[in-house]
Amino acid sequence: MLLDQLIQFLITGITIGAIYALVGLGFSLIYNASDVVNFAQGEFVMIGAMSAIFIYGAGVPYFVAILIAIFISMFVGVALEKLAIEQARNATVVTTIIITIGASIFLRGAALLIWGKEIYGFPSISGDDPIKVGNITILPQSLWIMACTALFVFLLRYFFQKTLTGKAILACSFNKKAAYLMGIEVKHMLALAYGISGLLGGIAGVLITPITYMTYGAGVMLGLKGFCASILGGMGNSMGAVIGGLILGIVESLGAGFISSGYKDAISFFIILLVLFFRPAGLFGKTGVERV
Amino acid sequence: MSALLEVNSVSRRFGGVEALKDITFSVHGGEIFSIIGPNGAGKTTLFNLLTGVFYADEGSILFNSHDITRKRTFEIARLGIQRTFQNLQIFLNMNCIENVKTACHTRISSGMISGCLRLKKVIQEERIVEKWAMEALDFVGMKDLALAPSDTLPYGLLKRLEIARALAAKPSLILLDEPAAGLNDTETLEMRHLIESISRSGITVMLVEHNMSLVMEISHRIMVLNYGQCLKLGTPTEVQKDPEVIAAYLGEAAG
Amino acid sequence: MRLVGLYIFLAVTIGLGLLFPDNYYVSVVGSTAFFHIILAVALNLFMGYAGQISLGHAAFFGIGAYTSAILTTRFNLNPFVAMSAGAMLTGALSTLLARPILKLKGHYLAMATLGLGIIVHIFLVQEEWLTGGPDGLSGIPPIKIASLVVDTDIQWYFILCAVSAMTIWISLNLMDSRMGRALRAIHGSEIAAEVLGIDTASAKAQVFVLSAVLTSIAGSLFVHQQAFISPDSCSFAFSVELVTMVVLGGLGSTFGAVFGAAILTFLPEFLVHFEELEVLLYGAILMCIMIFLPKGVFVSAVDGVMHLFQRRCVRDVGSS
Ligand SMILES: Nc1ncnc2c1ncn2[C@@H]1O[C@H](COP(=O)(O)OP(=O)(O)OP(=O)(O)O)[C@@H](O)[C@H]1O
Ligand SMILES: [Mg+2]
Repeated sequence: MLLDQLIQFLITGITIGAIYALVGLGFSLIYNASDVVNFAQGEFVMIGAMSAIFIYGAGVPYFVAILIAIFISMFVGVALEKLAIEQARNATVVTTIIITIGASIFLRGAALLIWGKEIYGFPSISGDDPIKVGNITILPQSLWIMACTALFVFLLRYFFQKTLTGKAILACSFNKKAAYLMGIEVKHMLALAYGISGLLGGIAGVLITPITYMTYGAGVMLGLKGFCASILGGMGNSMGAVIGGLILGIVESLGAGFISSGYKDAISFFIILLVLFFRPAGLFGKTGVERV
Repeated sequence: MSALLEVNSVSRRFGGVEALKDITFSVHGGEIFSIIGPNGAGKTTLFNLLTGVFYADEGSILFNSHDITRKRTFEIARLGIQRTFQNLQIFLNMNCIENVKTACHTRISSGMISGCLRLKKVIQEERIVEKWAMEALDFVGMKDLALAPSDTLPYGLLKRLEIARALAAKPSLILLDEPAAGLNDTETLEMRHLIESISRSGITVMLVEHNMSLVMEISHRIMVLNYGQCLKLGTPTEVQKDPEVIAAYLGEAAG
Repeated sequence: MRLVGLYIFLAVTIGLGLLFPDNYYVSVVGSTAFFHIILAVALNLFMGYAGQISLGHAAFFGIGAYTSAILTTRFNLNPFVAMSAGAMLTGALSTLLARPILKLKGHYLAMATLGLGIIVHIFLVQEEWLTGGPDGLSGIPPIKIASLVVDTDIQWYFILCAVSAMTIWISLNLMDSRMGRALRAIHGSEIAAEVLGIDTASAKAQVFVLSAVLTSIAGSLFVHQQAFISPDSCSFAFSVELVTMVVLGGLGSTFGAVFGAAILTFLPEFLVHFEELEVLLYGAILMCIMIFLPKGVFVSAVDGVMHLFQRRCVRDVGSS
């Protein structure tokens, strides 16, 4: 009985963890490319989801609506880079944190204006009839979420390891000046990184909404969880962020199931505090020494 | 004469790089002791070990017969070692005199609460710190710039300011990391006079510098580092004549 | 000379209070502004002076507020005793957390303080038996000074004005003292500060505790003025708002924090007329200021005036 329960919680955990992984991946992508911690990451998720809901609601076919919605979040990502981050060169850590917090409030404000305060749902990719295996039930959407996350993680890996553009983005993240001297258009690369990050957020939003619903303010917590995921994995370590997201999702789900659902979010942050206190570079990050 | 600073078989590695390997030497009170060597030889790393910025993997460091090998940076500072930085570490959010006043930290004692309430003690301290700071600025010839914001100063003056700051802490040993780098000839000459007057005031000087004529003219003894190892330790004349040193460093520096 | 700004502050605020005691914008919004001023100046000690970041200061506000609320309503304690208890609790908690948290820098520090704030917030929502849950606590008694019960808006205005002035005074004093310089040195270059003999870990911990305790005291005052407290008043959003106030005016400047607090108190009052647009405009203004005036509005303005002034001086010297 307990085992069944455990497996059930694990499935829920991996589902939500996969979403955190996507958001965390976007986080570490932007962090790598531009040293910015993007507090508006959660708003990418929200905008992707809300756009999909409304475009679909306007009568556009399901998958076309999803595609357009994802492009909208991608566009928001690029716009954030071009209109805000790029304008604030040489900004300090605190300044960039505030800029992205400002962006997050701005996007939330825009969503509030356009879509209001209501809670919206969105149909699943392949229906809501749970699949039963023994005493365990799985929503088909959960499987979709896991599959899509796995797919995008691999696509992204391929993109960064095998394609020229991907390598160029990585080069910018290691050394902007050197990348520039090698003829890489650093500006475009940054915009691209933000775009991909927005895209990942949009995908996460479209995938999770059938399970959790969406409101204009739902992005905040999702964004913070993505931040947690990437810190857990070691800031800027993409695969670390994915694993961090999964761990976070699982722990949260177990905590909610066995300890208290009200403290679900507190558990994640508690873990993050412990990790930061005892392994400040994250679970998979390398510790470095500052040079003088 | 007993040594002010004793470094015994100190080693430090960074990953695969052996930045310092089995270094042993001592510095006597009152001398100007220089360390030269090609880029990446480990000179700055040595200063970092002496000031507790990094710790030695092996070996020990004694200062004034205190073991400082594992002491934290601020504790070492309180024992009387000060330094400047190769890449300048000025508090750009403060003006010149505030930078220097900050260095008087260990010479006064009021805490945060007394500071908040500006107790009588604080007022007295502020008066005397002002005086000390002006003296230090005067020593490096920057008295007139006391109230200038430090982020507007040219490079040469920032180097002086950093020295003034170190002096205001009343060290018995000062470590200067490339004080003449980036200075023009006049400024280099002024820097030389400054170093000499620091030495004359009774402070022991350790100097890292690539400007060979400066080093050769003012040092009492010189240690040559190469790839983390001590190649030679001796007087300027001895060092200049050493064929190994010429091959590894001087030849290249002269050419 | 050192305290000129404080005298101007007192003259303006007392003047407004005496001239327009019944004006809503003075007595009501003004009182809120004073709360924000206390909080922003306290946060500036930690962020502006010492160059750290906290996205969780609302937690300390909440601890002060709830301690006061619980102790005065359930145990009938004197408000000032309750306030001290809140301050001590905050002091103890922040002392305990200071060392491990302040080992962190930049984004990691932001994350840790943010996490702390969220955990405290969730605690306040969940522990209904103690905190009243999401609905909060009400019926909190007003404070009494001697035999005078403080319960009108304008009375609060003057009391908060005095507390704000005291906070500003503390902040200005600290600036020109041994530990204040140590903090600003840490902001400038932590390694150089350490080399000068400053125990940076301890200095950071001390200012963290100081800032937290001042914040907690503001929280205690707040519940007595409002007679009500709910977790909404100590959320992540509030922490962000406090950071915004400090940064808006200009990090490291006491009056920058005062200015930022005042602006962010009055701005929403006017944005209310835009209703739906409020959130959007708030975000846009925040972004624009940080992009175009990263040193903060107040500090940039003061710099600008100084610059003009200096140029004038130079020209005068040149022509004479
Ligand atoms: N924090 C660090 N992390 C990794 N490697 C380091 C670090 N500090 C120094 N090193 C390495 O140790 C070696 C010695 O460096 P160091 O800075 O001491 O040289 P240096 O003699 O001061 O050179 P220069 O004349 O260029 O200042 C170099 O190979 C350098 O790359
Ligand atoms: Mg060096």
